[in-house]
Amino acid sequence: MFENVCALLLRLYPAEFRRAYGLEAAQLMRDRARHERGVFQRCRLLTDLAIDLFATLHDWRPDEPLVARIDGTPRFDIIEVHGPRPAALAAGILASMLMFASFTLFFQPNAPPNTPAQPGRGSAPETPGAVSNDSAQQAAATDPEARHKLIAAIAANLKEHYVDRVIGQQLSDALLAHDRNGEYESLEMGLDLAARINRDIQTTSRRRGIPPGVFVADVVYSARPLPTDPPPPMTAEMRERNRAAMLRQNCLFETIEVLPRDVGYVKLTGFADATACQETTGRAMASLNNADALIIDVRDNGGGFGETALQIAGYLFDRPTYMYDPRPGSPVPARTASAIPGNKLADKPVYVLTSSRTQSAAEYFVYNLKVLKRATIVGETTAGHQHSGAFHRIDDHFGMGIQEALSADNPYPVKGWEIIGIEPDVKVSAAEAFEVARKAIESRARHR
Amino acid sequence: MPKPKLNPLPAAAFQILMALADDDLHGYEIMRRVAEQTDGRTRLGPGTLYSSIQALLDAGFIAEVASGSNEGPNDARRRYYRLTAAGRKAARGEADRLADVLRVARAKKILRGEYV
Repeated sequence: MFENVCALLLRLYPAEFRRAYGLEAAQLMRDRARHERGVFQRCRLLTDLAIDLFATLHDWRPDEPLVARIDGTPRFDIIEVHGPRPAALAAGILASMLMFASFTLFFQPNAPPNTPAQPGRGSAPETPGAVSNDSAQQAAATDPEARHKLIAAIAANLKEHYVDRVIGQQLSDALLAHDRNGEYESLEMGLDLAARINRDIQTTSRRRGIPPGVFVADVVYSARPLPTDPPPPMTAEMRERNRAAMLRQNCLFETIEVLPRDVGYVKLTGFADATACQETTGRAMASLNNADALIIDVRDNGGGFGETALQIAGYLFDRPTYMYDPRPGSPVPARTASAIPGNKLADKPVYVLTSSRTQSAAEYFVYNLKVLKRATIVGETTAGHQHSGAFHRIDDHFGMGIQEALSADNPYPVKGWEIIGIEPDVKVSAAEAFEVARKAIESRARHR
Repeated sequence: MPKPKLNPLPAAAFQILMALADDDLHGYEIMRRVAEQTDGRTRLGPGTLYSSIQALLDAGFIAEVASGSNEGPNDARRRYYRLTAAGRKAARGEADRLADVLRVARAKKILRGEYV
């Protein structure tokens, strides 16, 4: 009871602190509670914790975000591990509405094609050293032929690469129809044109039943010429900085606990880079080795590195096991490293908790455990974000990201998770998932 | 994670450096050692303790080390810390600074006694 009160107070600490030191802080409070018994000492402990909480919240400032990785190799990306706060969401909606209203006010579809570029209209190069006064570039910016050629290239990319061939064709046809109707005539070859094309792609995709929030494609314009080569590899310093950041966050293991009745519980807010976290992951899984059942919580897991998901899955099998990865040329090995010496988890019941926020590499993990019938999936249908898109350079200034097609070599009869997500075995709300899994484990133990 | 500044060395950070002067310790041991060396006047809460540890790690005053023991499930979540040469130098500098303060306090008759 007392430890629960302490745990409750610890949950009030800033999320960033809990991610970095939550486990240690909980352990520290448990240690104190074990040694400081009696009413006076317990009161003092709670007072200490309350004062510390107040001081921490008072002094807290958000930290800088992690440095983005640009090593150029295909991988799952963590865009943001945690969902936005309601206040941030409200501010975002308000800002979007204001931007949309401003755009509508200033957008003049009947303006003559040769109207000089206005500040903020986007057609003028915005970076120092760009060729804003180059007459050839100005001519190209309004050249109808160049515009038709660009639209045709974008349409061809959608048709060829979009994950759903039928919808890809429809998106392509719609763009070409807009172009034929002269709807892009007043727009110069710049940000305005890219924004308008993106709006048309989104409108068409919504009409075809793709829900809002699902990435389809995005056309980008760059005043500077787009690079033709892949980005340079990460430096040793960047790698070390990322490694230190991951270790500070306990390699995204938010909780590792052995609950009553020897139920191992592990919550992962992402799958960290295996090059930095292989050892931590091994220690975390080894700490659950004596559990009679496992609950793996990926409800707040936005993805990350498939290698770490594979490493964790390795503890759940007693022989090398194939894990389907939809990305063509994926760097993640195809099989788990099972059996792992000393591991006792391979035959223990496993429950995986999911939510609509579970995505990308977390879906890779859930999908394989489900089709292999190695785990019972409890919670909500996952997000359906495979994140296997790719960027296509169209010309020096335009490129586009497209949600790419699945590789065709899925050996399982169950369709992958792109867009549709993964249906749980036991469908309950994310908030109820833990309790449902815990009761299922108890019931199973009683009937053994 | 936001870190307290270390110049001048805050009291909590100084106490942590002193706690680590003899042994490699994990968080709870550091907290207990600090409480002992301050006669129970300073009991570091988790927020103060770990934000100070983070700042000391970033400054290179302490380093994380392998525990060397495997006592069960709790061991995976414990991290052990060791005082570095830079940390010892910083602690010595802070101790010198405090000694100067004491000398002035004695000279001004604010503090009495030879040993404090």
